[in-house]
Amino acid sequence: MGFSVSGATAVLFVGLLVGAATLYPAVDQYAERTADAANADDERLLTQRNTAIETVNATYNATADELTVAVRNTGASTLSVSKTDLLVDGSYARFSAANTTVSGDPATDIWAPGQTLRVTLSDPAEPSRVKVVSGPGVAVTAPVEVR
Amino acid sequence: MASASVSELIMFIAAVSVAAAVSGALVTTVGGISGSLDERGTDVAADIATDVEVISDPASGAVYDSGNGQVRLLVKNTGRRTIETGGTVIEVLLDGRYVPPSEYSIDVIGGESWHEGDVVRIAVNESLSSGDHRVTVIVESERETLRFTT
Repeated sequence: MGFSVSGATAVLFVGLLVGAATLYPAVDQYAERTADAANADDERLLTQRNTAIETVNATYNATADELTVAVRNTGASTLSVSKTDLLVDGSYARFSAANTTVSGDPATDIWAPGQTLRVTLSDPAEPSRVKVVSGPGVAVTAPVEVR
Repeated sequence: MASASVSELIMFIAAVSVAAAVSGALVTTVGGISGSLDERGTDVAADIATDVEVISDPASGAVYDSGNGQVRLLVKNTGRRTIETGGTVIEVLLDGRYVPPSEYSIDVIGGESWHEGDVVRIAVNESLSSGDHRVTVIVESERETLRFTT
């Protein structure tokens, strides 16, 4: 009887060890993955909360058929010009690096706090409102002033 | 005396066999749980990294095209991962009703994949009466609702 109990206990113990050895890395990896994702999410939220933009002006030159939108980065996070979107009268207006300037510089993609992004678009129809959406999703809507 | 040893041997073999079966079942079950936990970790991480924002301008009148009976939405990927646009990853509810995938089309503006920062245009073929409406876009566990007037 003594040997049977010891033998069975030894086999069960080995089974438990193997089980624990399989389970531990999985639990550890799960915790690490979710913690990493949560950290990255917190950073994204921080950037979003530090983002603020303000329309300086949105003017339409009726003789030149040209729309100019100037938006100032009034937040604390640095934004990307290529990740900024412009909606003219609710429709997506694609702008390239060729018609954007950040504080007078046409080549940069960096839109730092305090700088003004100016977008110039040729638009044959007179728009009434524009919406500018920054990379983190913070948006601003403004009426267009016709000159 | 010999019969006692034989019966003890039989008992020993039986006990060890039962213990081995139990251990085997335990190891298999734990292996299954580990596999599921691993997949779940990947899913949860992807879910946390997913974020979208409806950027359409509801006051511009461009959300509903009454001529074609079409609701047009612009949705921006504000998360940290590329979202699949095929299949049933993106779901749309119009006034609380489920819209089957055959009723809407999704195209990425200026690209093929919906990378972070990119915008997709979702066109839902549905005629609406004049009044207030709401449309909800669901991506993974992320939902965004836009209210507009036709």
